[in-house]
Amino acid sequence: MSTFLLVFGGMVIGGAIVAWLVLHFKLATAQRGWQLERARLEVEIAHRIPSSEVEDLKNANARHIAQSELEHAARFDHVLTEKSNLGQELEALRATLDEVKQTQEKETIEHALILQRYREEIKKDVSELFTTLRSIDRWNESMAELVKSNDAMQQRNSEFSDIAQQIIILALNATIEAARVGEAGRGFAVVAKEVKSLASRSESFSTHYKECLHMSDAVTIATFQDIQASGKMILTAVHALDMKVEHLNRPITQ
Amino acid sequence: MTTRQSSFPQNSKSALNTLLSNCLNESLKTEGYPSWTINPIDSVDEIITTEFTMLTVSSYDFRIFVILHSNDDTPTMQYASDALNVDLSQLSAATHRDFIGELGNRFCGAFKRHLGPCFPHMGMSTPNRLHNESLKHLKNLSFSYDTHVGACSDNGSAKFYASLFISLYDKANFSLDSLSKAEEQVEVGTLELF
Repeated sequence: MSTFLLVFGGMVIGGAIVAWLVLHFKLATAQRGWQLERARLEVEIAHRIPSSEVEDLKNANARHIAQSELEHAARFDHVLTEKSNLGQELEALRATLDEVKQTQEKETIEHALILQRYREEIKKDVSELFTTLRSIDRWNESMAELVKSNDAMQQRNSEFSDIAQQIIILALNATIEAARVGEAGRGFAVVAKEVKSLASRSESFSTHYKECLHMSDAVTIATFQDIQASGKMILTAVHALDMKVEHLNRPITQ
Repeated sequence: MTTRQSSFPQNSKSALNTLLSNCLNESLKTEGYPSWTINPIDSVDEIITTEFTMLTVSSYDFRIFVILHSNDDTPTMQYASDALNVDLSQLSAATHRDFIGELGNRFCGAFKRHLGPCFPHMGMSTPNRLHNESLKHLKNLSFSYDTHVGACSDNGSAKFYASLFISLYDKANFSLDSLSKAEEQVEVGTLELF
């Protein structure tokens, strides 16, 4: 089996060598043919175009190339110059930018400091406003005392009115008793009449005073309530302001 | 009475009238008194009671006296005792007085709350009880507009009256447009609006 494989392998390798040799020979033949054809064509061209024209063409080509090289060199110099100028402008712009940045940073710091100072001042003002609002509480207390005092005066006036009415009744009784004793009681009747007159005037004053107290009640309560309600309104507004100031004082990230 | 009613905006008048009725109805309603008939009253002189509870709502641009008129009669005391769940014979004068003060507070609180969307900055006073004799002096103060209603419970004879006396400092800033829209949507029940 191995002998058969050796023989078969040798036949394949031998065949391949023969095929390579044939191909190599054919290629060499073709190359030789192409070289001959090129030489023939060169001779033919040389015979067709005069040598002076060829020389002119060569010179023209050389001049064109030289001109192009000069132009390229000039353009290259121009580009280099432009590059240099742009570099300088860029540097100037960078310097300006740095300057602007520094100015801005400085201004930002200054603004932050001013803002901080204003915040502190507003906080202080709000705190003082709260203190000021205590005076409204004091007014409330004073007005409440005034209202109480009015009530007390109403009660006393009512008692005074009762007393005046009782005196009127007593004076009437005294007048009747004086009339009963006749001539002897005439002097007493005059006194009783005067007492009745004084009591009537007292009652009239009491009635007027009562009206005044009712008016005083109305005006006092109206004023008292307006102060109280306005105080609460201001307090609410100041609390709202205080919350806004607190919010301003928080860092932006919160 | 010194008033400048002609300069008061007409649409604000209507809104305030409706609001007054709604707030009175809202504060008077209790479990035993769920329904009230509320009618407008032309003049405060038609209101005859022994006393009134007064509160004030103040803002930068106005001052409003909110008044609840009441009597110390049996139906009113019965209403108080029912609301407080106390026997009428056990209801002291002081308890009744406190109840009326609290009722006035609730009524004015509802009024202020409804005005809130129109006027963010307002303050309200505590209630004070005044004799009816003081009312004639109070109404002599200068007002831009005043309005009054009477309420009668549908299942009894309890009666209350309410008044608003409004002083405007800056007419230009007094607008109840947003209030008008909101109040139109309120369920008014048996309320007789005007």
